[in-house]
Amino acid sequence: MPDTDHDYFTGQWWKRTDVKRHAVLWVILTAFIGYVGTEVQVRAMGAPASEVMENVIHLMRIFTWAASPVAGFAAAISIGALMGKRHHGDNPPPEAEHAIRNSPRAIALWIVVSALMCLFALVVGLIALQKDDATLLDAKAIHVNVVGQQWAWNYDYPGSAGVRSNVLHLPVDQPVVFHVTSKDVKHSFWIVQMGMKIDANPGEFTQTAVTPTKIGTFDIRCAELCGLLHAYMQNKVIVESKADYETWLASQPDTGKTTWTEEKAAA
Amino acid sequence: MNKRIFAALATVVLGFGVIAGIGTYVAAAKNDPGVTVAESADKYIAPDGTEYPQVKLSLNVYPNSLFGGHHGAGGGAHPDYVSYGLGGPNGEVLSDAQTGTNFQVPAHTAVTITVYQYDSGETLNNDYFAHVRGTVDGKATFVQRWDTKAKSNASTEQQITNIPADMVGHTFTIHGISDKKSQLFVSVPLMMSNDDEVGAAEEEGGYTQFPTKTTFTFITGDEGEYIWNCEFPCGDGTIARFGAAMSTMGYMSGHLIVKG
Repeated sequence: MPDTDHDYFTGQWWKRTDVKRHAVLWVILTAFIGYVGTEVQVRAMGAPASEVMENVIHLMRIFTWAASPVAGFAAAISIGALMGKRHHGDNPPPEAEHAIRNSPRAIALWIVVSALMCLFALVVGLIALQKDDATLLDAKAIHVNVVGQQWAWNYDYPGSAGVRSNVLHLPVDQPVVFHVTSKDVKHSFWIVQMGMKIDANPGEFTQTAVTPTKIGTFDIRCAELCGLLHAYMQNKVIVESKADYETWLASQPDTGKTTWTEEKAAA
Repeated sequence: MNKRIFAALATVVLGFGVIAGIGTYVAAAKNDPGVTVAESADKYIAPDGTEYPQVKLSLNVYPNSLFGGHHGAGGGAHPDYVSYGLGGPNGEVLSDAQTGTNFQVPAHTAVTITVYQYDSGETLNNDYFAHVRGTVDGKATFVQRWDTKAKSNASTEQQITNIPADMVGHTFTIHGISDKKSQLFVSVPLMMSNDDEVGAAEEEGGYTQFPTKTTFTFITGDEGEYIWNCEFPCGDGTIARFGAAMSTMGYMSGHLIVKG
């Protein structure tokens, strides 16, 4: 037990038994939290279907490993305190004024390490966002308008003959810019396996972009709690070859054609 | 020590009791009773010649819940809510129906639904839903005036792929879902009935004699549970007119269970 009247970090403090025990626990817990945290999260995210999603997964690995020493340290201290410092029975000792609380070195170390980690997360995150935003300016990109309303998504394809669909179709390896809006309340357009998510706001258009890199069928969900059937506000995106995409576009009916007239009904 | 164990057990039991109470209250309040199994009908031959087993459903849409039906006598808790309800084969009001907006249909089957629409209407907030989507051939059969007394068409029957977006009363929209099950997206606009006739009938405590009639058929895929709702914002003024009847199961929304 350190003398509470003196700085904890005096003498050869690192040789103390409780410090060694906590250090070993810290290393073990850091490795455990880092590995399990990374693997569980990455597996739950599924196989990436775009470069954006690959970046998201990469970022998730970096951030989880960067955060795991902090989580491991807190867990080691908590476990150490629970196992070694727990008082049983009556007459608990008075709450100690632990010296580490008043240690300038400990406080400085904590602030500097925390600040560096925040800076690291900010810089790495901004670099990843910068990569994603570059697709927005790609002249080769096709454009898709996305409309959300309680509780459905629909899509239209500018440049086509008025094609609109409930299931989103996209060509593979082609940058796509989405113009997203809502007809009623706030929704969030999320293509799960492409790592792309953006708010759909009533009366406004938000833009985001992605390049699908894998042919297949993927999930679209609303990521903003939007009412009674929010959980069902989902559909699919079919990513296909450029030729198949063009064939699909050409096969769609002219949705602007009117088949009902008041005169006809009155006849 | 015994006192502590007893207190811990009592806390756990109380916790379970509170959760069970909340669950029971929510189940009772969701106003979503029973499931209607669609009736079998003659085989259906699609335009491409494929033959399917067929089931049929007949539904009505009302400007309020005073018809009773699955809401109970007098319209239940919200007699002023617009509501779907089971209808008779000629659009008759079934005031004693015990089930309402949950339907069960078989897999890989033609489902033919006829909707008699007794309500007036306005303009859709998204004209995407003015088009017939997901039905056989992308079409529906439409009668603008169905005579419920004569039980016959009072105007010409026609095939439609869409109606004007500013004449929509309600829609019947089954949502596709995002999983490995069959995608099933069906949306059919239901034209408004004549405003004046709807208003006059309501003042007399009834429904117009001339609802619109829309019939459509779609083919189910594998088994699965879907939801459907009206995509016309016909609730009250809250949540962009998707509040009230639109945000309460059993009125303008329900389940479609594909099973068997």
